[in-house]
Amino acid sequence: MSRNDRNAGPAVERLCHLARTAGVVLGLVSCPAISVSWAAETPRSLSTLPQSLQIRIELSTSTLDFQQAGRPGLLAPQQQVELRVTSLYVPWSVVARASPLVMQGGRGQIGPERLFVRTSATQAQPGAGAGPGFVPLNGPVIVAAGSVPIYSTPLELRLVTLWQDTPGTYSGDIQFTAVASP
Amino acid sequence: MRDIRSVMPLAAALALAALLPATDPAWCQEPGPVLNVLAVIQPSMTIELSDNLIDFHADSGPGVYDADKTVDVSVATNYGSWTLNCSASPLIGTAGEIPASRLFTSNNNTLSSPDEGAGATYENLGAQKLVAQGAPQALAVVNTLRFRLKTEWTDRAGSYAGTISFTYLAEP
Repeated sequence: MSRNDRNAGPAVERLCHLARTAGVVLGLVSCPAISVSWAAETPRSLSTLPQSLQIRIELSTSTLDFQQAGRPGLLAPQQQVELRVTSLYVPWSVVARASPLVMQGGRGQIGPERLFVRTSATQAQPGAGAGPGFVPLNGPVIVAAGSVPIYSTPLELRLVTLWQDTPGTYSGDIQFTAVASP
Repeated sequence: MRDIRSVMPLAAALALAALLPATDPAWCQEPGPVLNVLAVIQPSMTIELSDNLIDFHADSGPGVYDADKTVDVSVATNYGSWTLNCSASPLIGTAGEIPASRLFTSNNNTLSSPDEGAGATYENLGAQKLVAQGAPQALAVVNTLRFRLKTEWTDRAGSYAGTISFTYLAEP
């Protein structure tokens, strides 16, 4: 990132703040123009509505493995996961939602309520089953939120297995979605 | 005075805003990456006994003696179906041995059967005997075992020792 790009960050934030103060629609019209100067993209006219939010989410890994060798219980994945966000819009948030883990070649599945996440943005739910701060992914969960253009946070994930989970390999996914919060 | 044309884009935008949904408009969200999740669950079987030593105090001459305690058998498993059996080795002493067929067991599932020499529900451990069978479960008592030993005049005085082994057959 060049010095100009670095200097542009606070300017973007200030302008977006002004845009937010003026209202949602003003933000819609003005923010694409702001993104041009910061991201050094082809300039767009002020009247162009955004075709994309330009909130970029990156994960340090694309696959997460949970291995249960002994008794069922609380499992931590083999990998560390870090979530990085680069955004031209502020504030923004990132929402995660999980699918069930379906047994390959079998009938069993592990529901998303047994897959848990913890970040600095998650709200503690006492007694959820995976430890303090962990929330189940059985619905959309805000895993990150910010008012800065560049942000990163570790994602801690846990899986709770039961004796009723038949031995085998289960697969599913967690979908991340960027949300602009004007 | 401000030119009316300068505020026209704002007015147009405000008019557009009125048409947008109040919450969660489509333009506010953008799909991001997908994290693939894999969970590998290995088979697991845990068998626990309430005690790992039983004694027969056969100190009143030949006859049938109860063990000093019963044994609770607990199982925890994620196997889809399983069967637990037990079998005995001969009791070996310094002056001889007592065959496994003179060790007897009875449990909560044993049906009344012809007396084999130690009581109506007692089966000799000369062959493998069924203890329990079932489905996936957390740790729980699946049966309580009672044991008897039949001694004869030919058994020399002394101490004898042996083992009762538990084995399982299971399918995922």
